[in-house]
Amino acid sequence: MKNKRIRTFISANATLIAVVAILIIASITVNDFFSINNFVNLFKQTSMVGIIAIGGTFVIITAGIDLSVGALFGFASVMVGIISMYFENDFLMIIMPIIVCAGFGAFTGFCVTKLRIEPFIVTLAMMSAIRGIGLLITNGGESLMVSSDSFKIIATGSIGIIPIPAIIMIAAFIVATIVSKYTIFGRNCYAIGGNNDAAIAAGIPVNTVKFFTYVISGACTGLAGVIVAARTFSGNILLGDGYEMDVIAAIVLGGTLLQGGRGNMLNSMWGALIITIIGNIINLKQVSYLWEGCITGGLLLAILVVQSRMNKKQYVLAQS
Amino acid sequence: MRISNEETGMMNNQSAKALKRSEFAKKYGAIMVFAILLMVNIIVTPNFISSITIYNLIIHSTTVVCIAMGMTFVIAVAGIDISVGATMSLCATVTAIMAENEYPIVLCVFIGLLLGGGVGAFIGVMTVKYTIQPMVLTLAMMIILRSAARMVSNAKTVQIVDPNFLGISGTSFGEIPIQLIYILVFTISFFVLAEHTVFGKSVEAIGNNITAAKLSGIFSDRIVVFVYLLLGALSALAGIMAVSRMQNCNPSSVGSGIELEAIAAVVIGGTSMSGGKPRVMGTLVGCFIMSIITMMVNMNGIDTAWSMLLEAAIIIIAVYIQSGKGTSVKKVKYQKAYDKIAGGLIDEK
Repeated sequence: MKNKRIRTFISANATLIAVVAILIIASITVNDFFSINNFVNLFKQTSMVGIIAIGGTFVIITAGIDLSVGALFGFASVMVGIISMYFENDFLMIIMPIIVCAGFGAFTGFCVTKLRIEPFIVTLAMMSAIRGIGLLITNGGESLMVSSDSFKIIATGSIGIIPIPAIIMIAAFIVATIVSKYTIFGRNCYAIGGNNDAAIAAGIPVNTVKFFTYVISGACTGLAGVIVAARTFSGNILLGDGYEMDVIAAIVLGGTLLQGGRGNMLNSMWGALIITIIGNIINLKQVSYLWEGCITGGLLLAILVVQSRMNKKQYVLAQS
Repeated sequence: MRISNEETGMMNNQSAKALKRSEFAKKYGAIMVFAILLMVNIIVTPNFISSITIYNLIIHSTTVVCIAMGMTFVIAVAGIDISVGATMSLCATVTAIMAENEYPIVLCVFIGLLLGGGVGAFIGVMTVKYTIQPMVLTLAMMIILRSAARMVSNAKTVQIVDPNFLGISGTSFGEIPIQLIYILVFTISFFVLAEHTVFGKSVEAIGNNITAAKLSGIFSDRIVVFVYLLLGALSALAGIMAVSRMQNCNPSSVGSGIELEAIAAVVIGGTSMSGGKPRVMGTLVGCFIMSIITMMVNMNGIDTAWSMLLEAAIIIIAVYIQSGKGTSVKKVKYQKAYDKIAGGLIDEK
């Protein structure tokens, strides 16, 4: 009986255990890894992937996928740059990119729910379209400067030793966990991902729920874009190149099924942390860039294999 | 609540009609979009009607056709492979380096294809045995293989000088480029494979319902592994053809972004991403649509930023025309008929 409980705990928190294991191994084997400075850095870096992963998890739980986040991430930073050029208003600089990105998410949601196009294709097209618009606005990929000092606090400031982006991320994750577990919207997401037809039959407003998951995904990406703009003091459309893959990897490492219906908000944060730690270790070890991909990919593959062994029983159940 | 025979008949009739229409859209939607694009181009683009345009269209789409054919089967078994670009790069690099060291060209190509097949088989076995979701698995493989390709060549561009190697995509018979023959061979052989063999039917069965396929005695594991193996070998072939045309092999740039182009082509062609019937002919037209967009952009000198927007719009519209009238309409019609009957019953009460 006790054995069974431990097993359930392990399979539910496999990602957290992986994080702890990697942390311990890295602390022993990598010099300079175990320091407060490095940990603060880790959390700063994780915050962006983590915040995008919140929206992504909602989308993936409803059996969708959002590939446009990478482009949207860069676009949000460009928006910050443009607003800082004309208005110099911190509040607008934070709120406008989020609204605009949510608007793009709404368009994606419209295409997915009303036009019934596969989310993979819609977001793929959106990725191209958003990058195109961004290039148009910035005359082919110029960097826009962000000079407002008070705005930079979002990314560079800290309360005590905890950096503000990490606080934003953790707060967002707490809200998202509550939404996904204890609200009608969250439960509907799981129901839709589990069985779309059954959800329709049960009277769940499937289209509305799906639509809002894409809006949330857009808004979260906007927030992450604001943070990156504050962190690099600039807005550039090319910032988010390939970011969508990091985000999806983080979500899947968190045990969320791409088929939908199963997943845990908090685990996505641990997944994002794993991705960042791997990058961090490679940086600290000063690995040749020739090897970098092999190590990142190899570790990802190894974690996936271990995770699949842990989850196998649940996975088979969820699939059949 | 009882529904009379007549009403059931009406519902069936309506849904059958919608089903027919959806089948029509799936079969001919891509061709319609292609025809529209062709007409627009004939009107808008200067010098569009010439043999050079057709020549370029064929040469440009060969690599995508090669990969998209394999991708059709992978997507038909409800899988996906985004590592094809990296596989292309690795196999092409290995082949190019072997050719540089003056091994016989047949051996080089054979090793390249073998490597591609091996990579594909590895992905297939991992998805089947460890039930890792193909999207993330191939994402990890994409990172590894791209890095491996750089390691093999030490991140240098390999020049290709062997005339036999260059002949793989440099030969032409009079006006006809050899790529046309490749495309014809691929299309015919894969069309036969999809439509007239047990393998093709098994792929369709697995895509529709893997549990049912297993229960009806299909060796689904073997077939899924073989499908990935096929795609791996085809990616290797595409890589070899691509570097042979470019006359050099840069491991960082060969095949970058081709996975998304191939997937878009397959979906425009009418193969459902949740699995089902592999539509080889549709895929071919999808590839031509992707190529014609690129050519339209190049020949009109459209700015990159605008061309990205254009591409996005055309993809969305093409997929909408091809799939929007699909199952959704069937459901809506069914729902409407049902509502009518249900409403009638309520009125009776």
